[in-house]
Amino acid sequence: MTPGLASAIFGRLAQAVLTALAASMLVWALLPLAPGDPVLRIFEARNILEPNDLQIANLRAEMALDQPLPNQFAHWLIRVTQGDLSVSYRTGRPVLSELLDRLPATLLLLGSALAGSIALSLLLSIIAVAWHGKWPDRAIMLYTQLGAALPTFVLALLVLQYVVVGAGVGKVLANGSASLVLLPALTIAVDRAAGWTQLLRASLLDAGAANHAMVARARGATPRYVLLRHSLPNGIVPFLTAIGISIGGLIGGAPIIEEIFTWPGIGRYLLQALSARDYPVIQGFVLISGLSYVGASLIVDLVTMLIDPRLRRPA
Amino acid sequence: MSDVLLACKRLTIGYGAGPTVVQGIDLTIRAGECLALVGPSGSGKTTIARAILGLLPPGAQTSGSLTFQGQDVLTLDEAALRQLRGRAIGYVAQDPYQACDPLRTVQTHVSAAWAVHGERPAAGVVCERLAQAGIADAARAIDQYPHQWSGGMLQRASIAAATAHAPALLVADEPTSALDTDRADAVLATLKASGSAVLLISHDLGLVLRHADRIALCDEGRILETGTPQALSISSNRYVQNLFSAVGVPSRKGREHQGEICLSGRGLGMRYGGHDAISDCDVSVYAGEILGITGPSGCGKSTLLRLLGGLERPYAGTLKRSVALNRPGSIMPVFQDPVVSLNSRWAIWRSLTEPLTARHLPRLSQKQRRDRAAAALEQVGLGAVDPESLPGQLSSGQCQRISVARATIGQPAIILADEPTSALDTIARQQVLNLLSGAALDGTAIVLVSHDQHMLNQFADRVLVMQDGRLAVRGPFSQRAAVARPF
Repeated sequence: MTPGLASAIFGRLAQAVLTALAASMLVWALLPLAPGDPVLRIFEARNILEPNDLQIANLRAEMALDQPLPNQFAHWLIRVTQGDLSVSYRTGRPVLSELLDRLPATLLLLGSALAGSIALSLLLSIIAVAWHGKWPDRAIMLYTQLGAALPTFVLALLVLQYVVVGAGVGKVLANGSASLVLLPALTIAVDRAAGWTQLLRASLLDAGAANHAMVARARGATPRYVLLRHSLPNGIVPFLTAIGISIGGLIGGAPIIEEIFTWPGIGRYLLQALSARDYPVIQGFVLISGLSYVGASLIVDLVTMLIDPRLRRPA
Repeated sequence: MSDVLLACKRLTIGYGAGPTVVQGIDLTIRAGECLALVGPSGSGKTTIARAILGLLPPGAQTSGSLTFQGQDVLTLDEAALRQLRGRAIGYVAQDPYQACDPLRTVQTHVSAAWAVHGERPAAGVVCERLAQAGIADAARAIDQYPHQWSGGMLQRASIAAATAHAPALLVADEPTSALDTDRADAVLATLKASGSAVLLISHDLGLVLRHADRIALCDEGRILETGTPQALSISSNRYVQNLFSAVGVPSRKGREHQGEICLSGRGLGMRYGGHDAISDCDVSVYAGEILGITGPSGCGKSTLLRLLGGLERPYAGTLKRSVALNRPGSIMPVFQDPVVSLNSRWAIWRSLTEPLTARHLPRLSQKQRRDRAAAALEQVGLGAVDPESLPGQLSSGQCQRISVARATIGQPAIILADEPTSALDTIARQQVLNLLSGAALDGTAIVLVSHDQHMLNQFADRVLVMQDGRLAVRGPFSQRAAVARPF
């Protein structure tokens, strides 16, 4: 590893930590801004309907709610780093364990959807460029136009109606297991891949029109050699960046898909929390999705740094 | 007469209903010779090169014949063409940085000459070839990336890759136009030393006269005349005579600047990321003079120009401007690439008269702006050009003349020109220099940055030579004529 690469990576890591800190501040602000007294809501959740003043004062001191806002934030941040996300207003159970129970199902769904959509858009855009201007390219372009125009839940409803109910593939009530992940994951993947295919196809075509591609052809390289050795590494950087940015959208879109496929993940749990104004749970979900976004864009940036030597110089 | 390697007979190339780019040319290249194809941009030179490589864009229609070593390239199938490319016909592109994949090391780039044919170069061969091409310390530098190499070195590495299989013919499309003059000569020497026949495509007649065995002059898709440099220099063709008379540069030697100092910098320095781009530069610019700044790529010429223009604040030193320079539009730039320095979606009258829209000037109607543009076009010899045309419809020479017209239309105190002629063919270059010279006579100071020292020595009143961010030589041309060129 060169010193330039090491310091570039260090700089990017520091940036990620700062972003995570700023995001957590926004997440924390949800609670003081929310209506109602959190202490009273917690007693409600513990089935103590009329707490006495001493109980209230004790809990208020325990949660540092009697202190100025900056101290409240510091107190909250320390608790969060120790894994304490407070308790759900609705069930009285700790938010973290409620979320962790449901996280594996969501990770399975979104992970396989992400892998599927990356694989699908890579495959489709390489086919489109290899047969540029011919019928496979036109067919793929048609798909990307439709897919990008259609919201995911429309496709999900259609899949549920015609594939699950109509053809009897899969189950209407999913239990979150690996054997049932295929349909909902594929639904998300087919929809997500549309925009990404458009983007990657365009950058592959750009990279193929570059002078170095012409030089490689003039040395006797086959079109396939140019596409895979030169166009793909050069064209993939904007594609990866787009993926990093849409991770947030993927997690934010999870509740709807999980609701339609009755997938027992954190997205569905969020919808229940939203209708009950269960702020600690909402906060926990936002925290998880914010940190995933920070983590994903960190990974994407590190990968693009490995691909493109020109990015390895410290900013 | 030596063997004929390549012969074009009545070769015609066109695109569908579009214009015929190459119109029935006859051309022969003999084994081992250096034939230069010279002509203005848009004259069909690059199309001929691509036809020889069998790499015409899809949709190209050809007629006539293009015979290489007895095979007609126009009728060969793709697999046979791939065997010719790289093995029998080498290719060197214009800009070495664009010719290399930026993500791969120089080592990968050179050994790709073998890899594309499914072979692997023998151990040490790549280093050996680079050393032969004049690259010192090849073993160490080979694992670096193209952006870490200098243009001249990288172009030699590209030549090493293009000649990997000792091709009988090398097609070099403007191989030196991105390089300094001195490096250009060295690169051409490397090209010719390969032993291959060379088809040298260039718009720089001066360079070609120093290196080519024979020259074919082309214009608008036709070959006007072919012959040795001596034979062509006494040609009776008027276009050829024009071309040859334009090789020189309008000379202004002996003019003494009388004007007042309009801009002066003392101890100017600039840092980027802890690295001194330029340091300790003293520069004065006098009204009505032409000040040349030259030096190798990366020496800080353009940085100095940006500081003088006030586009960046100096990191060290002071910059004094005369009062006349305080009004907007008093400092005007002219850039290297004429086509991209005009807004591609604006009709040229709009770009041309944009300096007249500065806030302190009286407001002009669109009609008045069009009229002013037409008058300005007339002055730069483009009276026949429609002010409504878009930059993309004009040649690069025409665009650069429009850029100069835009720079002069508001009567600025200083014009800062960064390599204004390096993308132009010989005739267009002379036209642009004449316009700049005319502006200087009207009292405008011209600061002209160029890597073409020959041109500056002829054209500028004073030449500053920069090296490693410092001014190496100062003073009027006559005083520094005896100083050896430092690079």
